[in-house]
Amino acid sequence: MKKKKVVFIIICAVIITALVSAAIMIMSRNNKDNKLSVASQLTEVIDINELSTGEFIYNGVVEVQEEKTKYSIRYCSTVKVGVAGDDIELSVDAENKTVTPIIPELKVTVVNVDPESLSFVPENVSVKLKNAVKLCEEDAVKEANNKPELLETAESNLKSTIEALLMPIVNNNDYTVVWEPAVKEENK
Amino acid sequence: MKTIKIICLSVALVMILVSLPACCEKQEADFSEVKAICELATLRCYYHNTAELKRESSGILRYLGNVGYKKAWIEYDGIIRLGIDASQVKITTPEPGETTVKVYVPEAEIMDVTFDSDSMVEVVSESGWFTSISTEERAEAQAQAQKILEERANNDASLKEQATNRAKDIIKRYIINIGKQIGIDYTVEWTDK
Repeated sequence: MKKKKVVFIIICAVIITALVSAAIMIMSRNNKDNKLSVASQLTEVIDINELSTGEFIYNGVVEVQEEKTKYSIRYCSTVKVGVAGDDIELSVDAENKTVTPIIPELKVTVVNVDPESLSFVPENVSVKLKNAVKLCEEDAVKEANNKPELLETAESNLKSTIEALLMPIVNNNDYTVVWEPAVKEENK
Repeated sequence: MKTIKIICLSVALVMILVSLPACCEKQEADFSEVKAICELATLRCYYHNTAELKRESSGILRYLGNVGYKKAWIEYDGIIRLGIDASQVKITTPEPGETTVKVYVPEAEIMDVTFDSDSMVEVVSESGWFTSISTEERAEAQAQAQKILEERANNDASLKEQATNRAKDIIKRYIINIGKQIGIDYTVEWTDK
């Protein structure tokens, strides 16, 4: 009788342990299931108002041809290439475990010309400062957008930013980031 | 009988305790990839500049067709790389139950400056009578332009600030994303050392 009781208690203990362990495992699995899918997690981490591409110094020269006068203005400016997180698409291949970010064509969007930096050739030319600054701003946008080195530098910074943002999720799920060369060709 | 009950309960308790870490093992943050993050945070800055070559005429020559006067603007490109020393970055992993991650990031430094001599273009030039800009003067202007680019890169506080802020922003987002992976909403606190 005593032996039966002992066996009963042991069985009960084993069943309780098994039930508790099973409950813990189910809870753990549920936590995993509750996590967002890899694709949506990746999209979420790059959904930022503005992604860093860098600000660049563009100190240029604009040649102006007006009715009777021809002159040149030298100026100092900073230009910025703006990209929002939602401009970037992510192509997730769950089978091959790769993520391919598709970035848009990059363009210079913001220019700040320092009015105090302007100098003129010929030096005695008469020009309104406001007009001169406007001409310089237009020139900086046009010239900077035609500089492949500037846009390549911005693209390189953007790619690094995206890779850094994706890294925790990519590594945690054994994915790799793949860049497609087609993006570069589109920029040109 | 009582002893058997205690043994059985102890066995059950031990088994539960053994199985607990299986569900809790992901709760520890791992910031070991911060070195790779710092490398990705390296900022490449395109730099377009205009150098000036200028010689004034002197004395009476100023009134005689400005003989000796010469002025030229020469445009050129360069790339400056700035980054932070990953070995100096310190991340203090918070104690269980805490969500503030203390991080020290040093100021970004210039890593290298690349001057593109092929990009040099003389966009504007003017000179007085019988005066021209010589090849030596153009070479001098190129050397000067390269020196200016390096000096500006080293003295440009806003450039270093931009690179430091970019690195901080990327590290902050990295920490937050690591937290999300383990279900913790981390906040980042910057420290001075």
